[in-house]
Amino acid sequence: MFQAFGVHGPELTPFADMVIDVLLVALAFALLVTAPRTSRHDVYLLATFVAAVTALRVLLQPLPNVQPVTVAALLVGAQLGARRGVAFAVLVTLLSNLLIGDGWWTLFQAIGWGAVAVIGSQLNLGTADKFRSGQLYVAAVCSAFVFDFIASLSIVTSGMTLSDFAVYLAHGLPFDVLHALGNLTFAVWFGHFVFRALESIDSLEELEQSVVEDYVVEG
Amino acid sequence: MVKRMALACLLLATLSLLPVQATAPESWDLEWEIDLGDGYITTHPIIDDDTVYVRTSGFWTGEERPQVFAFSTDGEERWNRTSATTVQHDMSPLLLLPSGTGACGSWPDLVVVGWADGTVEVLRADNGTSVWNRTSTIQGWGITGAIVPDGDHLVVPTRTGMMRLCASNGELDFEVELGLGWRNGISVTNDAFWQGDESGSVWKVSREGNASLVAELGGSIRHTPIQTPSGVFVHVQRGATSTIHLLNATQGTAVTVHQGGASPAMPVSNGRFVVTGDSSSLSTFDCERNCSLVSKHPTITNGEMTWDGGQELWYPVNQPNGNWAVSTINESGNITSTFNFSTPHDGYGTAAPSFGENRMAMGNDAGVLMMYVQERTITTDAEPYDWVPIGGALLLIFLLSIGAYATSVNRIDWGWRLVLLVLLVSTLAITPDLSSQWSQSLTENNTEGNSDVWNDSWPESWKGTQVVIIEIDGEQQVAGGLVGYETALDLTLAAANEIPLEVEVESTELGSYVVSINGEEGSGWEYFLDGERAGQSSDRQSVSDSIVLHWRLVRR
Repeated sequence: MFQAFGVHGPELTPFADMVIDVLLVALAFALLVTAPRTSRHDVYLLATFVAAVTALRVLLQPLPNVQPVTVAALLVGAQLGARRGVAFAVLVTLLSNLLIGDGWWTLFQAIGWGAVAVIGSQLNLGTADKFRSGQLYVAAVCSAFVFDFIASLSIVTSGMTLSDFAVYLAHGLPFDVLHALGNLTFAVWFGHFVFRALESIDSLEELEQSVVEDYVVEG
Repeated sequence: MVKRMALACLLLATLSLLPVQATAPESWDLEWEIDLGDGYITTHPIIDDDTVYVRTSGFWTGEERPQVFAFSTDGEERWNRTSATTVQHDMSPLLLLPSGTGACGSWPDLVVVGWADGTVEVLRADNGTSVWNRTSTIQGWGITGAIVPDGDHLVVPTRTGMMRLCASNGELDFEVELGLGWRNGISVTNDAFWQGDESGSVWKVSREGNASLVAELGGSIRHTPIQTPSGVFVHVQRGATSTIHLLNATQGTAVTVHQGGASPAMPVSNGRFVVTGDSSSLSTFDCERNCSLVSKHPTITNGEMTWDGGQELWYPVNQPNGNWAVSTINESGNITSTFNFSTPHDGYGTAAPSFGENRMAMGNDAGVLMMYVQERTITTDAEPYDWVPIGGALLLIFLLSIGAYATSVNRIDWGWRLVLLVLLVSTLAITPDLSSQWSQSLTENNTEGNSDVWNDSWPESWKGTQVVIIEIDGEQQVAGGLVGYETALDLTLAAANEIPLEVEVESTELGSYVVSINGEEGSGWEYFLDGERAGQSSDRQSVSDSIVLHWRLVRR
């Protein structure tokens, strides 16, 4: 849609581009570091997942607005908590945009998928054995519109009125629907599988529990 | 049974999705070939009744020198002519000039040769003897562009400019200094001659020999400028890329219509459509619509191209083991099919083939002249059937059938998965058209009855016409009184031509979008129709007969 409009956000200097990227990387690491007790195994698994989803996004880039990152961010948020979910979203956005095009929009996409990860962290999807798929499907559809709205903010200019922006959003509706449908498809095909795979990383609650147990044992 | 059926369906669907290779509607058989010795064939041969003429080119050392040959159509050598003095690549195509009479005398059938040592040599076509010759300036090279007939005269692109000579005796009409030239031909119009040069300048030379500089585009122009209904078309070579420009012949302004790949070929026209080639693709442009891009086909072609008399364009594919490719270009300018024509001597090449009655002569850097004959005439010119939609539909039906089967055996989860996959693929297929229609309807609803964009300072005659505003940093340039343009892009290019401004357009999968106007890119360009923001790329946005199109540069 950006290309169709011919407007794609401010033309950033290489320095400004670098500053944004460095800030986002710093944010991702800060969130990972402050997450309670992340083991080396967890880091490897999360890094693998980041690489896999990045590759998938690049691979599917020719398909308009089919975004595997959205469902992945939801699941990481749901399974590993908001901090690691946001860190995951930021890293995938940065890495994939390095390959398919970096710019002002990277910031908004990172915020968008970060917000989706936070939404995911509020879901209660149960366990791998008692997976509440319905909740995931509803969230997958809704998060498409949330992400598209946040990413669209990158196009706002000083001369753009609210009604202009509304018209812009209206023009993008078919692509939003496509995003939602793509999300639902990913969730139905791979949701349970990914959820189970992420379960091998200690969840936030489990980590907190282990800290408490250690404390009690030591005490 | 179910498994067998499923396998059969899958096989059928897969086969139907395989890329379609078009087959040649004609059948050409190699009748004879002759190795011309050292050197390449870099320009097209000429077939005339029962004789074929061809020249060799190369960087010559020792005793070897370039030659011009005449062979009978049976492959028997009739004569040859060697240049004793040229040692550089001879890239100027031969010109066959039929006998005639003019103000400065009469002449028999002639073969006109431009040599890289700067000599124009005119030979009798029947026996190869020299009728006259004339020298021109050399700077590294001499003549490398195409010499063209102009009534009873010849117009020659020299290394440093242009000269016009009497065809019968070589008497000089005029000689004029322009920029340095390389492979740059001359376009002849009723009132002038047009030529490009190695600095990207386009020159117009009057029939009296007075030169004027029309445009300075930078880069290098290495072909004959093409006269089109929308202006003069040039393809400029620039390092690893190229740009395509349209010049307004009366105002001397240039619009950039497209960015191409490296090392452009010599574009050709069939009147309405111009075809360009380069190291990345073959492209067609509709020059009844401001030479807008119509179609692209990936290939590597850097030399000559030629029509075979119908809708088929032949061009050499310039790569190791390269052959000749034949693309069919339909009435809409779309490249509907392409097939490869291989020879026993495939390899690098820049020379187009030449056609005679049921005959085709061709050669490439291997330096072998090949004569093909057509065993049967063209029967039909039907376009190949496009199996992709039916294949895709079969695949989707197959997936749905599997989903239905899965549901029937209580695998409802797999049923849902397959249904969703089919739904997603179908939606992906229709989204471009759906989005375009949706945006069109939104724009139409928003622009109805909006009249407050009219500026009272504009001429009354502009009312009820198409008006374009181009705004850069608050400063507006306006063109009005335009009529008949159907898309926002066509209207924009027409206005830019009139103002004049240079517009750079880039084609993408989602449509063409304006990259820069007058070199200004900013953060992008946005446009409004009757004051309302448009919702799709300008080449897909239709415009009414009475509209104000406003382009605004965005800076942040």
